[in-house]
Amino acid sequence: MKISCLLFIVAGLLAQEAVQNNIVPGAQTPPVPAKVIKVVIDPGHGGRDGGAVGNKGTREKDVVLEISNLFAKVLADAPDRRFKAILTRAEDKFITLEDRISFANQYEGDLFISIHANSSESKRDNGFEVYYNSIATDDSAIDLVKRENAGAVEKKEVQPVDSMFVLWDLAQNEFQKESMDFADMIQSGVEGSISKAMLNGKILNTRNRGVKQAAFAVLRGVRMPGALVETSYLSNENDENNLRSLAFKEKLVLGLLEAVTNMAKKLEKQQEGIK
Amino acid sequence: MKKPSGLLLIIIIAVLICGYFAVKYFIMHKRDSLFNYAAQPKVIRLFFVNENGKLQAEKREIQGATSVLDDVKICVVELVKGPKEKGLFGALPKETEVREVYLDDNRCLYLDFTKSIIDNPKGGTTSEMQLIYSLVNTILENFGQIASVRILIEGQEVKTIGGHLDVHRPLRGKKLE
Repeated sequence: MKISCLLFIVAGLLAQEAVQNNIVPGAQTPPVPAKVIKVVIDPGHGGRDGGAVGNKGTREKDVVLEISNLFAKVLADAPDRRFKAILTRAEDKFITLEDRISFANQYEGDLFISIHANSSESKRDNGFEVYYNSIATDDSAIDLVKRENAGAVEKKEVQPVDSMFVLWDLAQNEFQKESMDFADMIQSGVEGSISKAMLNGKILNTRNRGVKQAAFAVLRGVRMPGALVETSYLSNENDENNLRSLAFKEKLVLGLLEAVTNMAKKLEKQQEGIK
Repeated sequence: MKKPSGLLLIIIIAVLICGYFAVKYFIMHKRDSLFNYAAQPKVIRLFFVNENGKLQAEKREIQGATSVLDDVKICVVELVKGPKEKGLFGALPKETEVREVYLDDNRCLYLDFTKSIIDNPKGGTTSEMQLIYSLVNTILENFGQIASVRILIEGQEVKTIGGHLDVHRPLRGKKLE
């Protein structure tokens, strides 16, 4: 009798524990729908600001709008409808940098990606590169921040103006680590997609210039992880031809989709970690 | 106790006024001795873009002026003229004009341009970076008295030159790699 009472109490305690931990055998919890990731796509320039122009007359503002529209479409068509694409401009219209930033912040985007085409004084310069916001703009300032973080900076080295901007930068860079990861993912996503042979067997010859830091005005104000993609150089003949080809643009946006998918996974993991 | 006479009061006021102007003169003279010097020919290093898109220095002899600020203006004019060496390219528009040049107490140089520098943008982040740092690197390379550079257009601070890079801050040298 005593033993059966003891067993009854132990079974009761175990049952209570199981209910609390939601591990009752056979009980099925409804699947938690994945959070919709809001991706703010920012086609650079527009309207009276044409951006760079290639030798064949390709205008940056047009080509980046095409790429952005293609990208928005692949995001909308992604499995489980888990991405929502929001464009800062969907037409040939001039928008100030401040308006782009406040638009992205008002929509509370999860990711921000600014699409551009590059240009250089040297016609040889070619390839794609990805930027994220730098907490310091110049070599000496980057060095200063590094040493300041290491506690190796003497007070006399920091001018009042410098320290004010460095502090302002640090406050602005809540998303610096995520932005750096996002830029890395874009770089590997795009490199992977454009290195794959196309239907005609041709492989696009596009140089990967890597991930870089710079103080981009449009990235400085957005309150979300963000990156800026310089898709190719309109000042380079081969690159301009690529930017005029639909196949290149399609490959490019597939690389961007892969990057956003990977970044979404990372953000979800982070959220789970917080819970 | 006898009150100070009117004459003594006048002497005290005169000494104070003279002292004020003496200190002011001393400060100005000290500053001038730092920034004014005899005009003489000098060799400067101007940064232009090479065929690989990097900044490369070209040496040039100029007839120096009598102050750092006037020498800075000469440097900018030479940058606008463009390179003499083959395989180098100028990064500043040919129409670029300087309005004025100032220096603040933090040794930050203000380069005030007319709209000419932004009227015909070439577009592209790399072109913009080449423009900004061909200017900044040239100034910092040639004038040890200057710690940083700020760019103004028509006397006003601007966020960017061509829609990309934030120039609303003191700029320092950067290698373009």
